[in-house]
Amino acid sequence: MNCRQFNEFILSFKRGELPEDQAERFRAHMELCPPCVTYMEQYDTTIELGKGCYGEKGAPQQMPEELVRAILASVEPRDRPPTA
Amino acid sequence: MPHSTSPASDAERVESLRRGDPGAFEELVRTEGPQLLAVARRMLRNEEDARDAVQETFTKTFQRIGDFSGQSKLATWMHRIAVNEALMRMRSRRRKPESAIEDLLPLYQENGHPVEPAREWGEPADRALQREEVRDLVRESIDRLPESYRTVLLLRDIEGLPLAEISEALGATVNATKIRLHRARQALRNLLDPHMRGATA
Repeated sequence: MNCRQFNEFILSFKRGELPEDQAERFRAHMELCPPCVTYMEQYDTTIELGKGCYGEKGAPQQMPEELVRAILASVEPRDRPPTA
Repeated sequence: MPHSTSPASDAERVESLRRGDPGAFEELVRTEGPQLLAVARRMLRNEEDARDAVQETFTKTFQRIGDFSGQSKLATWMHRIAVNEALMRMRSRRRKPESAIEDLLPLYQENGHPVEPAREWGEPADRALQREEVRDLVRESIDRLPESYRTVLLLRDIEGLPLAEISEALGATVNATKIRLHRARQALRNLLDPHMRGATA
Protein backbone atom coordinates (compact mmCIF):
# COMPACT_ATOMS: atom_id res chain seq x y z
CA MET A 1 0.00 0.00 0.00
CA ASN A 2 1.42 3.39 -0.94
CA CYS A 3 0.61 6.79 0.57
CA ARG A 4 -2.05 7.63 -2.01
CA GLN A 5 -3.88 4.37 -1.38
CA PHE A 6 -3.49 4.81 2.38
CA ASN A 7 -5.09 8.24 2.12
CA GLU A 8 -8.02 6.85 0.13
CA PHE A 9 -8.67 4.19 2.76
CA ILE A 10 -8.60 6.44 5.86
CA LEU A 11 -12.35 6.82 6.22
CA SER A 12 -13.12 3.16 5.53
CA PHE A 13 -10.44 2.14 8.03
CA LYS A 14 -11.82 4.46 10.69
CA ARG A 15 -15.32 3.10 10.09
CA GLY A 16 -14.03 -0.48 10.39
CA GLU A 17 -15.14 -1.23 6.84
CA LEU A 18 -11.86 -2.46 5.34
CA PRO A 19 -11.51 -6.19 4.74
CA GLU A 20 -9.02 -7.63 7.22
CA ASP A 21 -6.20 -8.09 4.68
CA GLN A 22 -6.47 -4.44 3.60
CA ALA A 23 -6.75 -3.28 7.19
CA GLU A 24 -3.58 -5.21 7.92
CA ARG A 25 -1.75 -3.48 5.05
CA PHE A 26 -3.14 -0.17 6.23
CA ARG A 27 -1.72 -0.75 9.73
CA ALA A 28 1.59 -1.89 8.22
CA HIS A 29 1.82 1.36 6.26
CA MET A 30 1.26 3.30 9.48
CA GLU A 31 4.25 1.54 11.02
CA LEU A 32 6.46 2.59 8.12
CA CYS A 33 5.26 6.07 7.26
CA PRO A 34 5.19 8.78 9.96
CA PRO A 35 3.91 11.50 7.55
CA CYS A 36 0.81 9.40 6.80
CA VAL A 37 0.22 8.96 10.53
CA THR A 38 0.54 12.73 10.89
CA TYR A 39 -1.91 13.17 8.02
CA MET A 40 -4.42 10.86 9.67
CA GLU A 41 -4.11 12.77 12.95
CA GLN A 42 -4.73 15.99 11.05
CA TYR A 43 -7.75 14.41 9.37
CA ASP A 44 -9.17 13.78 12.86
CA THR A 45 -8.18 17.26 14.01
CA THR A 46 -9.96 18.68 10.95
CA ILE A 47 -13.16 16.91 12.00
CA GLU A 48 -12.82 18.28 15.53
CA LEU A 49 -12.16 21.79 14.23
CA GLY A 50 -15.27 21.56 12.04
CA LYS A 51 -17.37 20.40 14.97
CA GLY A 52 -16.10 23.14 17.24
CA CYS A 53 -15.89 26.14 14.93
CA TYR A 54 -19.54 27.15 15.21
CA GLY A 55 -19.27 27.71 18.93
CA GLU A 56 -20.68 25.96 21.93
CA LYS A 57 -23.50 23.64 21.00
CA GLY A 58 -26.54 24.20 23.13
CA ALA A 59 -25.32 27.60 24.23
CA PRO A 60 -28.35 29.77 24.87
CA GLN A 61 -28.91 32.08 21.95
CA GLN A 62 -31.66 34.57 21.54
CA MET A 63 -34.30 33.98 18.95
CA PRO A 64 -35.02 37.28 17.16
CA GLU A 65 -38.28 38.53 18.62
CA GLU A 66 -39.71 39.45 15.23
CA LEU A 67 -39.12 35.89 14.06
CA VAL A 68 -40.86 34.48 17.12
CA ARG A 69 -43.82 36.75 16.42
CA ALA A 70 -43.82 35.86 12.72
CA ILE A 71 -43.85 32.16 13.52
CA LEU A 72 -46.62 32.45 16.08
CA ALA A 73 -48.65 34.58 13.69
CA SER A 74 -48.04 32.28 10.73
CA VAL A 75 -49.28 29.20 12.48
CA GLU A 76 -52.94 29.49 11.77
CA PRO A 77 -55.41 27.60 13.88
CA ARG A 78 -55.93 25.22 10.96
CA ASP A 79 -52.26 24.22 11.21
CA ARG A 80 -52.59 23.38 14.84
CA PRO A 81 -53.65 20.04 16.10
CA PRO A 82 -57.34 19.88 17.02
CA THR A 83 -58.04 21.29 20.44
CA ALA A 84 -59.25 18.72 22.90
CA MET B 1 -27.11 19.62 16.95
CA PRO B 2 -30.17 19.40 19.11
CA HIS B 3 -29.66 19.98 22.76
CA SER B 4 -30.94 17.44 25.19
CA THR B 5 -34.27 17.44 26.87
CA SER B 6 -35.40 14.77 29.24
CA PRO B 7 -37.95 12.28 27.92
CA ALA B 8 -40.39 13.26 30.65
CA SER B 9 -40.39 16.93 29.71
CA ASP B 10 -40.66 15.92 26.05
CA ALA B 11 -43.76 13.86 26.76
CA GLU B 12 -45.35 16.77 28.61
CA ARG B 13 -44.51 19.18 25.85
CA VAL B 14 -45.88 16.91 23.14
CA GLU B 15 -49.05 16.39 25.12
CA SER B 16 -49.51 20.15 25.50
CA LEU B 17 -48.84 20.70 21.80
CA ARG B 18 -51.35 18.05 20.84
CA ARG B 19 -53.92 19.73 23.05
CA GLY B 20 -53.26 22.93 21.08
CA ASP B 21 -52.02 24.82 24.12
CA PRO B 22 -50.87 28.22 22.74
CA GLY B 23 -48.39 28.65 25.59
CA ALA B 24 -46.74 25.37 24.62
CA PHE B 25 -46.32 26.57 21.01
CA GLU B 26 -44.63 29.74 22.14
CA GLU B 27 -42.41 27.89 24.60
CA LEU B 28 -41.35 25.50 21.84
CA VAL B 29 -40.50 28.37 19.51
CA ARG B 30 -38.43 30.08 22.18
CA THR B 31 -36.55 27.00 23.38
CA GLU B 32 -35.94 25.16 20.11
CA GLY B 33 -35.92 28.14 17.77
CA PRO B 34 -32.35 29.32 18.42
CA GLN B 35 -30.83 25.90 17.68
CA LEU B 36 -32.89 25.48 14.54
CA LEU B 37 -32.02 28.96 13.36
CA ALA B 38 -28.33 28.18 13.88
CA VAL B 39 -28.67 25.04 11.73
CA ALA B 40 -30.47 26.93 8.98
CA ARG B 41 -27.96 29.78 9.04
CA ARG B 42 -25.03 27.37 8.76
CA MET B 43 -26.56 25.56 5.84
CA LEU B 44 -28.11 28.43 3.92
CA ARG B 45 -25.79 31.37 4.71
CA ASN B 46 -28.63 33.74 4.00
CA GLU B 47 -30.61 35.24 6.86
CA GLU B 48 -33.88 35.54 5.00
CA ASP B 49 -33.76 31.96 3.73
CA ALA B 50 -32.72 30.73 7.18
CA ARG B 51 -35.64 32.43 8.91
CA ASP B 52 -37.99 31.18 6.26
CA ALA B 53 -36.73 27.61 6.79
CA VAL B 54 -37.19 27.92 10.56
CA GLN B 55 -40.69 29.27 10.16
CA GLU B 56 -41.60 26.36 7.89
CA THR B 57 -40.00 23.94 10.36
CA PHE B 58 -42.39 25.13 13.07
CA THR B 59 -45.37 25.00 10.74
CA LYS B 60 -44.54 21.40 9.86
CA THR B 61 -43.87 20.55 13.50
CA PHE B 62 -47.26 21.85 14.53
CA GLN B 63 -48.96 20.08 11.64
CA ARG B 64 -47.25 16.77 12.26
CA ILE B 65 -47.03 16.65 16.04
CA GLY B 66 -49.77 14.04 15.95
CA ASP B 67 -47.40 11.75 14.05
CA PHE B 68 -44.49 12.22 16.46
CA SER B 69 -43.81 8.75 17.85
CA GLY B 70 -41.58 9.71 20.75
CA GLN B 71 -38.88 7.28 19.61
CA SER B 72 -36.46 10.17 19.26
CA LYS B 73 -36.27 13.37 21.24
CA LEU B 74 -38.57 16.11 20.09
CA ALA B 75 -35.54 18.36 19.48
CA THR B 76 -33.92 15.68 17.29
CA TRP B 77 -37.12 15.22 15.32
CA MET B 78 -37.38 18.97 14.73
CA HIS B 79 -33.68 19.16 13.84
CA ARG B 80 -34.32 16.67 11.02
CA ILE B 81 -37.26 18.74 9.77
CA ALA B 82 -35.08 21.86 9.79
CA VAL B 83 -32.26 20.11 7.92
CA ASN B 84 -34.72 18.96 5.25
CA GLU B 85 -36.23 22.43 4.96
CA ALA B 86 -32.76 23.90 4.49
CA LEU B 87 -31.85 21.23 1.92
CA MET B 88 -35.01 21.96 -0.04
CA ARG B 89 -34.12 25.63 -0.18
CA MET B 90 -30.54 24.86 -1.19
CA ARG B 91 -31.81 22.71 -4.05
CA SER B 92 -34.34 25.22 -5.25
CA ARG B 93 -32.18 28.29 -5.27
CA ARG B 94 -30.33 29.02 -8.44
CA ARG B 95 -26.80 27.82 -8.12
CA LYS B 96 -23.70 28.75 -9.96
CA PRO B 97 -21.82 25.83 -11.48
CA GLU B 98 -19.94 24.19 -8.67
CA SER B 99 -16.18 24.66 -8.47
CA ALA B 100 -14.08 21.51 -8.74
CA ILE B 101 -12.85 19.81 -5.57
CA GLU B 102 -9.71 18.45 -7.29
CA ASP B 103 -7.70 21.62 -6.70
CA LEU B 104 -8.19 21.17 -2.96
CA LEU B 105 -7.18 17.50 -2.73
CA PRO B 106 -3.75 16.14 -1.81
CA LEU B 107 -1.32 15.71 -4.69
CA TYR B 108 0.75 12.59 -5.29
CA GLN B 109 3.73 11.68 -7.38
CA GLU B 110 3.52 8.81 -9.84
CA ASN B 111 4.95 6.42 -7.26
CA GLY B 112 2.11 7.25 -4.85
CA HIS B 113 4.18 9.42 -2.51
CA PRO B 114 2.68 12.76 -1.53
CA VAL B 115 4.09 15.82 -3.25
CA GLU B 116 4.01 17.47 0.15
CA PRO B 117 4.25 15.02 3.08
CA ALA B 118 2.23 16.11 6.11
CA ARG B 119 4.12 18.16 8.66
CA GLU B 120 3.04 18.50 12.28
CA TRP B 121 0.45 21.10 13.22
CA GLY B 122 1.26 23.37 16.10
CA GLU B 123 -1.52 22.51 18.50
CA PRO B 124 -4.46 20.18 19.13
CA ALA B 125 -8.00 21.05 18.07
CA ASP B 126 -9.34 21.87 21.53
CA ARG B 127 -6.65 24.43 22.17
CA ALA B 128 -6.82 25.94 18.66
CA LEU B 129 -10.60 26.32 18.98
CA GLN B 130 -10.20 28.59 21.96
CA ARG B 131 -9.03 31.30 19.57
CA GLU B 132 -11.65 33.21 17.64
CA GLU B 133 -9.42 33.62 14.60
CA VAL B 134 -9.12 29.84 14.31
CA ARG B 135 -12.88 29.37 14.54
CA ASP B 136 -13.30 32.08 11.88
CA LEU B 137 -10.67 30.44 9.69
CA VAL B 138 -12.35 27.02 9.91
CA ARG B 139 -15.79 28.44 9.11
CA GLU B 140 -14.40 30.42 6.18
CA SER B 141 -12.58 27.32 4.93
CA ILE B 142 -15.76 25.22 5.15
CA ASP B 143 -17.47 27.95 3.12
CA ARG B 144 -14.80 27.60 0.43
CA LEU B 145 -15.71 23.97 -0.21
CA PRO B 146 -17.81 23.28 -3.30
CA GLU B 147 -21.45 23.35 -2.21
CA SER B 148 -22.23 19.64 -2.46
CA TYR B 149 -19.11 18.75 -0.44
CA ARG B 150 -19.78 21.47 2.10
CA THR B 151 -23.31 20.14 2.55
CA VAL B 152 -22.18 16.58 3.29
CA LEU B 153 -19.49 17.79 5.70
CA LEU B 154 -21.97 20.01 7.54
CA LEU B 155 -24.57 17.28 7.81
CA ARG B 156 -22.13 14.64 9.04
CA ASP B 157 -19.52 16.49 11.10
CA ILE B 158 -21.49 19.45 12.41
CA GLU B 159 -25.13 18.33 12.45
CA GLY B 160 -24.16 14.75 13.33
CA LEU B 161 -26.50 12.93 10.95
CA PRO B 162 -25.65 9.30 10.10
CA LEU B 163 -24.30 8.70 6.60
CA ALA B 164 -27.31 6.60 5.65
CA GLU B 165 -29.67 9.41 6.53
CA ILE B 166 -27.59 11.97 4.63
CA SER B 167 -27.54 9.71 1.58
CA GLU B 168 -31.28 9.37 1.69
CA ALA B 169 -31.82 13.13 2.06
CA LEU B 170 -29.49 13.83 -0.86
CA GLY B 171 -30.76 10.99 -3.03
CA ALA B 172 -27.28 9.46 -3.30
CA THR B 173 -25.86 6.06 -2.44
CA VAL B 174 -24.16 5.61 0.91
CA ASN B 175 -20.90 4.89 -0.90
CA ALA B 176 -21.07 8.05 -3.00
CA THR B 177 -21.87 10.07 0.12
CA LYS B 178 -18.95 8.49 1.97
CA ILE B 179 -16.55 9.39 -0.84
CA ARG B 180 -17.90 12.93 -0.88
CA LEU B 181 -17.44 13.24 2.88
CA HIS B 182 -13.86 11.97 2.63
CA ARG B 183 -13.08 14.44 -0.18
CA ALA B 184 -14.62 17.28 1.82
CA ARG B 185 -12.50 16.46 4.87
CA GLN B 186 -9.36 16.10 2.74
CA ALA B 187 -10.03 19.47 1.14
CA LEU B 188 -10.76 21.16 4.46
CA ARG B 189 -7.57 19.69 5.92
CA ASN B 190 -5.60 21.08 2.97
CA LEU B 191 -7.15 24.51 3.36
CA LEU B 192 -6.31 24.56 7.07
CA ASP B 193 -2.83 23.09 6.71
CA PRO B 194 -0.76 26.22 5.98
CA HIS B 195 -2.40 28.07 8.88
CA MET B 196 -2.28 25.23 11.38
CA ARG B 197 1.36 24.50 10.60
CA GLY B 198 2.20 28.03 11.58
CA ALA B 199 0.11 27.86 14.74
CA THR B 200 1.95 28.10 18.00
CA ALA B 201 0.90 26.17 21.04
